[in-house]
Amino acid sequence: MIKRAARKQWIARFDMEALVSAILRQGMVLSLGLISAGVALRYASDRTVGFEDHLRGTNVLQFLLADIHQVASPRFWPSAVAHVGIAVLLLIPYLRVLASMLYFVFVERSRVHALLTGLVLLTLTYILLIE
Amino acid sequence: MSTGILFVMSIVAGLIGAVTGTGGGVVLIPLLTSVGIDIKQAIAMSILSVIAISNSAASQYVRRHVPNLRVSAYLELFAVLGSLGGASLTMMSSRRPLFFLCGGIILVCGVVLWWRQKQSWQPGGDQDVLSKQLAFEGSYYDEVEKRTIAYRGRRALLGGSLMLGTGVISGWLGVGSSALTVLVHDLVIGLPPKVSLTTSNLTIGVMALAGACVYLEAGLIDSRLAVPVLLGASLGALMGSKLLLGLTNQAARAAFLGLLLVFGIEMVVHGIMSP
Repeated sequence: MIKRAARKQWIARFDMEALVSAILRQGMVLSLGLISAGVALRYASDRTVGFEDHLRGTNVLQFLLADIHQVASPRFWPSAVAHVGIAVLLLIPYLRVLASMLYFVFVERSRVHALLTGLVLLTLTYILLIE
Repeated sequence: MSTGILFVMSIVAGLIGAVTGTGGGVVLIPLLTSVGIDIKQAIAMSILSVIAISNSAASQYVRRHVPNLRVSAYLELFAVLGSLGGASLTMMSSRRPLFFLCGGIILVCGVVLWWRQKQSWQPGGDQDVLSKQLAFEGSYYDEVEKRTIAYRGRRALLGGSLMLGTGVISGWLGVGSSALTVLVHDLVIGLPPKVSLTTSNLTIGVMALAGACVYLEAGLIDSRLAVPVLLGASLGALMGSKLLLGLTNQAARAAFLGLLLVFGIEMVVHGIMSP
């Protein structure tokens, strides 16, 4: 009984918009911070701010793994850091959809909206991480 | 192409996109192609910048509880599927028609913007069954009018179908996502303008992500362009949102309409001149 009342109180206080806003804002700060750090590292190493490399791999997971493999060589650090920044940028809308789905499942308990966001999440998971 | 020039161009695109609420693609693609960057790469960069600009703008709006997350959840499904199909079309298209289509969509965006500024929002009539089931309703506090505005969305089926088409255009050409998405929220679903603009910011981020994944797989996204474009467009969007406070809507839109006309014609001429 107490548990149910506490849950109701938590749901009433839960601010989905604040969570979504935080994901978008903090995600952008992290992404742009990493890209800027990559540019700074490139400038520190060879006095240039340009990058010449393609993103390796066919999806976000693969190009992140490709970068991790190259971390042993400091020559690749600038582009690896910038690439992680680009990957974070691509993952922000994905995390936002994930948060929306959890909200519709556990807070709003709306089956229709949970199913819709679940289908979007499934499609994005396939193209971002598996394909 | 020097990184500095790409950075400055992206600032301009982000700034104009934020001030006018039409996204940066309509400015970024003509600017990038005018300095010799391949149109398919320019489209891929435009899609990437749309994610950055929409994330930045949406984070501000969502905090104020203006967007409608239920409408967004429904339309995103159509937008993502359309964008995936559209981006695949880019891979198959030859370059010349892309110039014509981009130019055409930029001019259509101009017409939409011009037409929208003459319209005022009126609450719609009765909801259809699907819109009721999807709970297309809500309210928000309007800080200018100092009152809570309640609304009900309609025509969910038509809105979803048109969103599929918008997704195809956005994924295919990298332009028009913002203007056309706002149009679906505004004119078809019948949401108030502020709810349309803010909800569409959430939708276009996910729609652009689907397209960006196809371009990533095709090898059209490289750090040489992506790094200056993302930093520049984000900085421009930030400057644009500050500048917006000191500009009248009419002044911003009039200036942008002129730019769209020039860019749209420039793209069409580029298509005619290209081999």
